[in-house]
Amino acid sequence: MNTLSRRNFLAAFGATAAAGLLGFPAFSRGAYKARVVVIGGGFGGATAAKYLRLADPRIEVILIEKDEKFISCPLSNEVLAGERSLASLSFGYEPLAAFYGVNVVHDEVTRIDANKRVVSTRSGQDFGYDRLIVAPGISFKWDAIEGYDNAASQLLPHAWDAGEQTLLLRRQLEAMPDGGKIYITVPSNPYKCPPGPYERAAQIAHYLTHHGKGRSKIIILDSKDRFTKQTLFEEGWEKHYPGMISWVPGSADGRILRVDAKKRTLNTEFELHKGDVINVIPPQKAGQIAEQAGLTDGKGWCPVNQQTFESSNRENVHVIGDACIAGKMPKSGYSANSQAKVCAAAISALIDGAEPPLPSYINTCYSIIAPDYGISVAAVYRLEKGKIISVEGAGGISPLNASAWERKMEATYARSWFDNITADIFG
Amino acid sequence: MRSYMLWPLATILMLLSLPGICAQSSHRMLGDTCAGCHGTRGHSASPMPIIAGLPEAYLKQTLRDYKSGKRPSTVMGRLARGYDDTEIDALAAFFASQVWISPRQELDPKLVKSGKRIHRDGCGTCHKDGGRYQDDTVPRLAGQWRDYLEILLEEYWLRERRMPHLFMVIAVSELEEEDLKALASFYASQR
Repeated sequence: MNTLSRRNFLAAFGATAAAGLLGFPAFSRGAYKARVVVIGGGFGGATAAKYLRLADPRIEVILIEKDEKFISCPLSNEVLAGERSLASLSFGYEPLAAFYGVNVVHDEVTRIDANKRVVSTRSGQDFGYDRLIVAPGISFKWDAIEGYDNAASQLLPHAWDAGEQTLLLRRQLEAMPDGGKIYITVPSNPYKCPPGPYERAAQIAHYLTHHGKGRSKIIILDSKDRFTKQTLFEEGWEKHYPGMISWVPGSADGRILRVDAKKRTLNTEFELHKGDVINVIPPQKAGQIAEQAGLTDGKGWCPVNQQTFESSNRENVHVIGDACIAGKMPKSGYSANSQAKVCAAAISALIDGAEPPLPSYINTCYSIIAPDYGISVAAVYRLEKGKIISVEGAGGISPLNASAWERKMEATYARSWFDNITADIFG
Repeated sequence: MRSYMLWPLATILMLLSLPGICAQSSHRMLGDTCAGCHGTRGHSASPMPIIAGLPEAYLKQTLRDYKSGKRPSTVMGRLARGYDDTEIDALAAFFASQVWISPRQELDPKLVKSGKRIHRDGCGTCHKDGGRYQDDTVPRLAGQWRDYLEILLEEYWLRERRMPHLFMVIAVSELEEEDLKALASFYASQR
């Protein structure tokens, strides 16, 4: 198999590091210099837990995550197209425990007491901490679109959390006859995975085109007037699915105000739309626990020191990933992974009473428009006057009118990115 | 008198140690950001190339070539332009200091065998010892991902890619398309 064995991999860290890791059980609890609790085991939280242990094996790390398996949102649009299984997007936490000595607790955090530095869980456990990392991802603003709540999402799926919702949308697409109308509604910025809705349109179009449903239409009702990689998406849509996908910007009445889940209708300011399948991507905010703990601002996101990711609202509490406000970085899996490493290095330094190191961050977002046709946006970031900014002259999107070979390579690298980043986090 | 003379020196040293004056992220800080695509510390999953343990000078040059556009890329040019020369040197030093590990790969023995012949008759002059040899301009090939080697050889082979290293472009242009697969399989088999 094309896999790098874990034993070999550990050997690569060198004898000293390996001894530190493997020698983990020999440390008594008292030998730890500090305890860090991480809430949430997604792209951000799981990376932070692993990289804290790599940075300093004498930091005890407790990762609290309610689910036994993590299911990745990136590449879940390929599940909608029937090109990928949900299982291929699922990862367990066993290697984090076995190979990196992370104490993984499957439970739900119900309360953070930032003054006493204690988190409490649903099962009644309390965990004290020296520093806390909160990585809850996003939650939905159920009140933002009239008629769209958790119950409505069982009829009109959001599929913006991979798992049952993804499969529900897939089943609805499969049940839909040829000639059907599919709506995708997109919120204003910021939301998780900015190019996701447009990749989704392409992946659904791929499914329709290859399953005898070529007369169907996909309509994107957007709250925005422009979107990321727009020219590349439009080029790719036209090339692979001519005439199938139409995009309605906010200024052309694209913003939806109301839904009726039972009637499968959407209201914008001036129009009523009826769809055969409706995918409502609702407006978002930081995960609930962040709000409960007083970490959010008036808009529902968490302001942080962008060098250490320490909350602007609470001492010794750090927020990373989709939930935090990280300057120019988009809310993506790669951003969360990159922020987690900066945060882990900062916490490791702070625990030693040292200055947090100068950060460096990257983001790369691939989108797969057809199995052999990928596009990307990338950026390198640095800190300037306390804000994360993109390094000038770097980054940007794939070129327009690129060769078929280049587009194929980007699709290949998109999947390789997924294998690498998930191995970096969960492997 | 003596301590008075030392003051300016102490001040300079202190200033140099302040962030912002000689501001640079640590090697590890920079290198860890690459893991999203190149795997933890450069030990990547296929087909992204393994870069752990490649020669420092080779990595420096490659990154500079990506940055200047001399070497074509899909995304590496856009990323390399995000780093100044000191940071590129730091990235090269970080990945060069990691240990190369050859992963297990499923390979077609027939292709490995014909690849070996091509290696012996040509490529092995520079890529010595079954591709294990490396120096400032010759990267290790042995144990690299087969799929990546195939992509790379294809890049040298395709005119549209305009690859640098004229010697490689000429050498690869003399090969048949199926030779590329054979060579990739051979070097992937050499762990």
